[in-house]
This record gives sequence, structure tokens and C-alpha cells, in this order.
Amino acid sequence: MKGMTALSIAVLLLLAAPAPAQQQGGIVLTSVSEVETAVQNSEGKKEVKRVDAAKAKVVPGDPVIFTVSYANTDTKPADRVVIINPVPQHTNYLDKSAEGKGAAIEFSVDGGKTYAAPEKLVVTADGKQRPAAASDYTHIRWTISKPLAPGAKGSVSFRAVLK
Amino acid sequence: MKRTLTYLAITLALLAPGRAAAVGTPSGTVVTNTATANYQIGGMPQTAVSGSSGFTVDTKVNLTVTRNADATVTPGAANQALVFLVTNLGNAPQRYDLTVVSRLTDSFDMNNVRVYRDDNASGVLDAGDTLYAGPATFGDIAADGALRLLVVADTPSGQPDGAAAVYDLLAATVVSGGTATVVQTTGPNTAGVDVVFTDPAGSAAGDSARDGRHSAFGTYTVSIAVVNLGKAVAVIDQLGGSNAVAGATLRYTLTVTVSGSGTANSVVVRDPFPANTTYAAGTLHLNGTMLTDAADADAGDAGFTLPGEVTVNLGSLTAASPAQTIVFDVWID
Repeated sequence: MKGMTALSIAVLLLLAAPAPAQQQGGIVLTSVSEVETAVQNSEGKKEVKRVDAAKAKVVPGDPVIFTVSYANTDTKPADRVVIINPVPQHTNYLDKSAEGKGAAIEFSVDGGKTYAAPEKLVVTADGKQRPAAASDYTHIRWTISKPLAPGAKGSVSFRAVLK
Repeated sequence: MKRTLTYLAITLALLAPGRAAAVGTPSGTVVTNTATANYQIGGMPQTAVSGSSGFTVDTKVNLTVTRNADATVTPGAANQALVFLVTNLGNAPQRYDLTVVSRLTDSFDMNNVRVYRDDNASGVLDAGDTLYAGPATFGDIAADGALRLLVVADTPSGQPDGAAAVYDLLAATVVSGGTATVVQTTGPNTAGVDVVFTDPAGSAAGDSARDGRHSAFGTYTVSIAVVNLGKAVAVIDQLGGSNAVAGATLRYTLTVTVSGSGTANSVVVRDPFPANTTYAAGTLHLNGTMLTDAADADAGDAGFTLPGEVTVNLGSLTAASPAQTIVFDVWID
């Protein structure tokens, strides 16, 4: 009997949850640009805090953290979720900064035509091929390995330095 | 169409070196990040979704003042120049308020100290160079741009060899198109473009890092060459003695040395033959080597450049040069 009650509540919750989601449906992406600033906390110690880049001072040479959050607001699972983020204009991708839990991360050096792991990327300069540097990357691609259940959320991020 | 593409390629190639040296993304540029997601639901590809965020690039104020040349001066010399370069390392056009500061601890002060822009990059003051009067004189200096400057002054007379006058050239960043010093935005971000100082500390007293100013110092060093001339005479009479009688030989020995840190250029020694004597032909020697009496390729002559005088050109001499010895004979009439 006790188990039955629990199950009923779970069913009710399931029924209740999709209501707002159905209005939107699908996957929702949000991007945030942030910078790290050193601030003094109440104990007078230095603390690194992330603040919205639009509300901070950003000048050439500063690294900026770009975070892309995703959420499946649909009633059905979403699969083959692939997030593509061009490295923003006026910035250089910061080597080894891309993160994404449960995602395969690859990069492009040809404007998003092809993607590969960093060690496989080459660029041609002055008629010679050389391994690609982080500053050659034009796009970052995250391939989420598992289907996203309804209501599932996650985020991917990378850092780039303002040129 | 093909032609247009070729021109474009050439233009890009020409631009490339400038871009490589670029200091940064211009102030006020909006940087936007956009991510796009593709996915399927129930095996059906869905419309791609995206999310964006961004920020405005703020103004970076950074500059360097570098000294490219000091000056070696002689007392009384006018318009002596120290050479400086002021470079805008920020991401926006700026002007500069220039101040020349005399060090208190140096040994003397120059007179009539001014700042000029070295318009022909000669490193010395020329007729075409522009005198600095205020931040507006040279107008805006673009990001990556630089000002070649001369600190010009006159050397007072009477300064000893080695005396040094030290000057700091201090450049303070001034707003583009104006005359007011740039102020760093303090406190939280504003809606507009903020100003951030990133300049290093300079040589001038009180020029600290991140104050929108930078400085470097240059030194005027007095360098003098003093030419010392010694003269000795020996009398050799016909009997092997040293009596100054008619017919006796007078052997003159002139010794030239230079002291001080400078270089004496175009040193010429002239010595008239004494009255009542006659030059003994073929006796003029410089450092043990005979010089012909005629004015020709060798360094000296007797009675040709100037009648009745020995003339010897010694060229440029410094304290390191060996003593120059000139010897000649005359007979007592």
C-alpha cells in the first residue's frame, strides 16, 4: 500500500511536469559570457569571482569564459544532440579550455566544414602543413553521447582570449 | 571578377604584417558568442536552436616611452637632442601630454629645454621638425601608432668633461580629440565603454604602473677634448756645443697630446720660424718619419701652406692617441 502511494505521486508529478515544457518544447540553449575577477571577500582574502562580461571591464588580452547551457524541455527524450559554437570573432580559443560532461569535443580549423580531435588537426601555411594551434580553431563541437531525457540539463564551456 | 579576387588577395597580403602587429581589438567592438544545437526527437531531426551572449570591448590605455639615443655634448652647443619614441599600445586613438622633468641628482641643467616631433626621423633637430606646445599639437595617435620625439636643449658653457644632465620624458594619456587627461573608470562597469589602465611603471618619479602615464630618461653628457702642445728647443753649434751663434742649428720639438673624453677633430699645428733664422730644408719630421717640405700628400709642409711657417695636419686625436711629435731645424742667420 505504501509503495502504491509513492508510485501514484510519481505518476502525478510526471503528468504535472510537462505542462510548461510543452509550451516551449525541444531543446533550449542559453549562452553566458563571463570573466574572472579577483575580489576581496569579507575576511580580506582574495577570491576569484565570475561576473557577466557585459558588466565587467574587458580589454584585449583578457580571457573570457563562454558557457552554453542546454535543457530538454520536451516530453520526449532528445538524441543526437550536437552543439556547435564558432569561436567568437576577435577572440582566440584558449588551448585545452573546452569542457563538457558526457560530450565528445572536437574542433574545426576550416570554418566548420570538418571536425577532428586537436592532435589530428593540421593547417596549411605558406604551402606547408603544420599541426594546428589553438588560435587556428574556428569552431568547437560537442557531441552529447547519450540521449537527453525530458527535463535533463547540462552545460558545455570554453575560454577564449580577446585579441 | 577574377581580377577583383586577385586585387583582394594582394590587398590582404599587404595588410597582413600590420595586422600581426596589432595591439588589440578596437575599443567599442561588440563581441558576440552564438552556440547552435542540432538534435532529434523520436528519430526526427528538429529545427536547430541557438543561444547568444556577448559584451563590448572596453578601452585599454597602455603606452611606452623608450629612449633611442642619449646625447654627447660640448659646452655652448645649441639644439642638442635626446631621442625618444612614444608608442600607443592601447586599442583606441589617444593623445599625449608631454612633460620633460629634470632630475635633481644630476650634475648640471641644460638651457632652453623643448620637445619636438622628429618629422624626418633624423634623430637631430631639423628645420621641418614640429615644436610641441600641448596635447593637441600632434593630434591623435592611432592604436599601434608612435611619436618620434626629440628633447632639445642648449648646453651651457663652462661644464667640465663628464658632467651629466638627466631628463625624464613623461607622457600622460589624453582623450582623443581633446586636451583632458584620460581617467580610468572606477567601480562597477558602466553602460558605455570603460577605460582600463594597463601601462607599466616608468622612470620618472611618481610614474607608477596603471596610471595612464609612462616615462623614460635620457642623458646629456659633456665631452671635451683638450689639446696640449709642448715645445722644446735644442741649440747645436758648429763646434758641437750649444752656443746660439750665427750658423748654429736650433732644433725644435713640438709634442701634441689630447686629454678629456672627447675627440679633437682636424688638429693642425702651425709654428712660424723665429725671426733671424732660416729653415733647414728637409728637416721636417712627424713621429720620426720625414715629411717633404712641399705641400703634398703627406701630413705637413714647411713654408708652402703658409709662408714662413711649418704646418702639420694631425687629423682626429683622442686621449688614447699616442703623443704626436713634430721636429724641424732652423739656422741662426
